[in-house]
This record gives sequence, C-alpha cells and structure tokens, in this order.
Amino acid sequence: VRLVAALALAAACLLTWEALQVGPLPDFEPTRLSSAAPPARRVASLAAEADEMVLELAGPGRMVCATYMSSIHDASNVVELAKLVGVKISNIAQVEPIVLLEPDLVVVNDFNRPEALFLMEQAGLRVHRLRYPRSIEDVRSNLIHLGRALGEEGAAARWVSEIDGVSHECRARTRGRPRIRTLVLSGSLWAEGEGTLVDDLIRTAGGENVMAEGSRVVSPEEIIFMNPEAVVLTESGLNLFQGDPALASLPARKFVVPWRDSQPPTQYVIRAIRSWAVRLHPEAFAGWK
Amino acid sequence: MKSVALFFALLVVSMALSVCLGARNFSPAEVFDVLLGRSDLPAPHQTILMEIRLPRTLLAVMAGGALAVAGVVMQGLFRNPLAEPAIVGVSAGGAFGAVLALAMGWATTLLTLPLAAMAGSVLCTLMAFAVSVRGGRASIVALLLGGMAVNSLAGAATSMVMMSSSHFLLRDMLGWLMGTLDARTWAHVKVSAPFILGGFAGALLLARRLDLLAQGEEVAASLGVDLGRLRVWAIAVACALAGSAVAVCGIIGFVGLVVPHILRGIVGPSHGRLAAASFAGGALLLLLADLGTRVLPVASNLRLGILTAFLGVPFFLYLLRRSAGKENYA
Repeated sequence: VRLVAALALAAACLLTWEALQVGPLPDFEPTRLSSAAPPARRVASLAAEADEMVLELAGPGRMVCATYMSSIHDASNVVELAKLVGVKISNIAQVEPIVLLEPDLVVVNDFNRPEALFLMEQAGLRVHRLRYPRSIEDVRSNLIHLGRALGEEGAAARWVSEIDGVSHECRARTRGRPRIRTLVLSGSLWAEGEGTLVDDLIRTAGGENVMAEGSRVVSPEEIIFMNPEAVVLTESGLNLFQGDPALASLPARKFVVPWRDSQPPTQYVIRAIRSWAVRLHPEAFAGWK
Repeated sequence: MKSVALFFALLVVSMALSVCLGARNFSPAEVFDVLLGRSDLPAPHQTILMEIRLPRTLLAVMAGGALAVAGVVMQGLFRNPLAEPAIVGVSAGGAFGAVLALAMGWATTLLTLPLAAMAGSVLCTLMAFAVSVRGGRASIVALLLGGMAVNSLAGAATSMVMMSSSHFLLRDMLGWLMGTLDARTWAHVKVSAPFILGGFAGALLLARRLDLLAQGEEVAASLGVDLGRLRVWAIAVACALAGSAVAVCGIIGFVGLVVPHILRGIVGPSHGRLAAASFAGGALLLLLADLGTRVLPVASNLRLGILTAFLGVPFFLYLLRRSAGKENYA
C-alpha cells in the first residue's frame, strides 16, 4: 500500500508541472476564417440562429446537419426546410459525430462551449462563430460575415438592405409620435432590458422599453408598477397573465408572438420590426401587415 | 488480492472498449496503429482517437476512481455506510462555483469552469469543517450538520443564480449539473490528475488509521491515532478527490456511495484494499456509464449523472431498506 501511495504521489508531483503549463484557449473571431477561405459546401449548424440563416442563404443541400431546434415549430422559422437536412444534432457538445460528418464549415454561436470549439479546430474543422446579437446592427454584422463564409454575399446583402430599409422607415413614420411604453416577456416572466436586441427592436418600432435595467425575471408586482402600455409576450407568458387576476386587469395592449419571434437574431428580425411597429403604432402604419 | 486484480483487469478491458467504440467504431489494430504513429486513417479520425476518446477515457477512469475512493474515506471517517463526499458540501459547492462562472461569463477559457467548480467545492468543505471545530477538535456530528447547512446554502445560491440567467445559459448549466464528459481535452486531464493521484496516495496513507477508527474512537485513540489530525486529513483528501472530479465532470452522484459498498462485501473492510479496489470499481462504473451515453440508441440526451443515478438510486434504496430492518431510524 505504501509503495502504491508513493508512486501515486510521485506521479502527482510530476503532473503538477504539466498542469501549470496549460494555457487559455484561443478566441474564435468570425472574421478570422471567412475572408480567404473558399465558400463552404458542407455546413454543420450548431446553433438555432445558424439553422435559419444557413438554410435560407445556402439551402438544405449544402448542410450536413442542423440543430434539433430546427424541428420545433415554436422555436424555428425554417421547420419545413430543415426537414430536408438528414441529421439533427441535439447534444452540441458531442464533437465526434460532427467531425465524422466531415463539414467544411461549422457555424456556432457564443453559447457553444469553448472546449468543443477547441476540439473541432484540432480536428481541422473551420469554425465560424456568430456573435450573440445585442442590437440590430449585430444581426446585420452576423449576416454579412456568414454570407461571406458561405459565398452568398449577395443574398446576405439583400437582407441587410431590407433590415436597413424597414428600420429607417419605422423610425421616420414614428418620429414625433409618443413612444409607447413597452415590456417584452420572452419565456414566462423573463423581461428583456437595456443593451439587448429586444431593446433595440422596441426603440426601432417606436416604443420605449420599460425594463430600463438589465434582463431578468420580473414579478407580477413589478410589471404592474412599470405600468406598460403594451406587452409583447409568448404563449406561456399569456397563460401566466390570464391566470393572475392582477396581471389580467392590466390595461396594457397584449401581443402574443411565437417564441421564435420574441427575439429573432436572424433575417427574421425584419418581420419582427414590421409587426411590432404595426402593433405599437397602428395609425402610423396603415396598409402594413 | 485476486479480486482487486480482477477489477483492474476488467478496467483495462473497459478502457479498450471505451477507446474503440463511439460514433465511429475502431478496431484494436487501428487504435494501436494510431498510438504508434503509423496509421493511414484520415486525420480527423486520428484526432477523434487521440484528442477526444483518449482524454475522455482517462478522465472517466480518474473521476470515477476519485469519487469512489472519496466515498471510502468518508465512510471510514463517519463510520457510516451511507456517507459520501457530497455530505460535506463538495458537490453542492462545485455546482455553485460552476453555475456562477457560467452566469458571470467567466467560462470562456478552457480552465475557468473547472477551477471555479474546484474553488466552490473547497470553500463549502472549509465552511462545513470550520463550523464543526470546537476547542481545536472537529466534531463528527457538527461536521454532518454543518455539511447539511452548507449544502442547503449552496443549493439555494445555485438556484438563485440559475433563476437570474437567460435560457441560453440554463441549458449549459443543466448540462453541467447532470454531469458530462463531452468535449473534455488533455488540459482537463492535466489539471485534475495531480489532485486525484495525490488524493489517492493520501487515501492509501490514511487507510491503516481508518482501519483502527473502525474499531471505535476510544480504541483508535488508545492505539495512538490522533483523531483531530485524522479528520483534517481525511476531509482534505476527500475534498481533493471529489472536488477535482466534480470540477472536470460536473455532478455525478452515487459513485462514492455505491462502489465502496459493493466492494466491501468482496474485498473486505480493510481500507487499503478497499480504496484500491474502489478506484478500479468507480472507474469501471463511470467508464461504462460514459460509454452508455455515447453508444445507447436513446443516448442523445442521456447524461452521465443521469445514468449513474439510475444505477445508484435503486441500490441506495435497497441499502436503506436493509438497514431499516436492523436499526431504528425513527
């Protein structure tokens, strides 16, 4: 027993030196991979927003896998297209199945674990990371970079132009009108605050976010105290509102949207801007759907 | 001794299976060729073997072994067959450290998540131990109660952090809380190995004193065992072992409880032999559970902690049932 203990202790001391040599991971910048590389033909999508963007930019024929989220109607705008992609990944941290699909581009986002990205790069895969968008400008940037990586700059540019056009028109039509005090609840009572894509969407659509601070779960009391004029909420949020007499009596206009439209970090942001603007200022957008 | 050797032989076979089987199966000859650097397999396949499966297999062995040996030490210290490292807050502290690191956005490098989990484990164990010390001596009952309190506190803090996190982070957090060996690298092996090997050596060195403690505190003290020092070292060893396992694999329950129990009936109560056999047994259990998460048809959402719990909970209930017949738990 003492001999085994001594050997284990000696090995521990030797390995301590090895442990001290472990350094940080390299950062994965979108621009690092996309400029000089040829357009990707076998794309693996490991993020829900990547499913939407890649499927509509490059088409299902160029995808080797999508995430399981692309099969859920409430979560994805591309369920029908995604049916044409044979492989759906549910555990995005398992690197082996992804490597074996032999993709020439793997599209991930900020929520994919860095160690999985590290292993993919070690296996020689090109990894393109989408930044989690905190503004409409971030969505534009993601579309431009991804379009370049896929060799679909033209299609990406058209979407960007459409985003700019809709945003510009919304701002122009709501200029001088009172800002509608708006609360957006994604999920149940999770309120999106300052510095988020939702905050930017509200302002572009002619509203003012009543959740002035960061995003967090809010209580019914807080919602009543905030006294919003409009509440954008999902199906589960509506159930909570209807089940709570105090919230049900709130005079605010309530707009129910599918979860996929409560904060769309993709080209579907165009639809969100339009529909939110129409709902917040129906008189300014007569003729818009 | 033969049974210990048999467990190590089974462990070697399971390690070979773990390296060979997965999303793509490799033959032993292909594995040897890759290990010897003379393989003509495509580079990505060689990477799968060398950079994904080998570190994953080694981590399963080390973490499973560490959890089981920590269980041996805790059961010896508390002289209670239902003791395990989690009762002094190692797992709950690790969970809090990891969840906090994810929520605060610190987990963007390879090692911040395991180091935060390790820090949480050590902090909670120290808190539980600190409240148990009276007049320079640690009381076992106070340690147990302190551990329960710290577990509750860390659990509440973890829930609070999770409630304040967006649903994107929640998936990551839940994945970690259920235990996983997905996407583990050589860096994880390097970081945890010194603690696990050092802790294993410590457990072996404490074995004789734990054998004496099993005869009763008075007997052990009369035979020259410094009970206060033994408690400090036993807690430190269990914390190093379980804390480092939790840091790299997340929360994996019941290995520390189940494995020493099964093996005590086979190799006997001697803590030296039991620790060695438990290392092999714990490694075997975790290795097979990890293999299950990779090759079972329903495995896409089956996590390591879930599989070990499925195996461990029925056994735990069986133990409770059997103990209830002999002792009054009322």
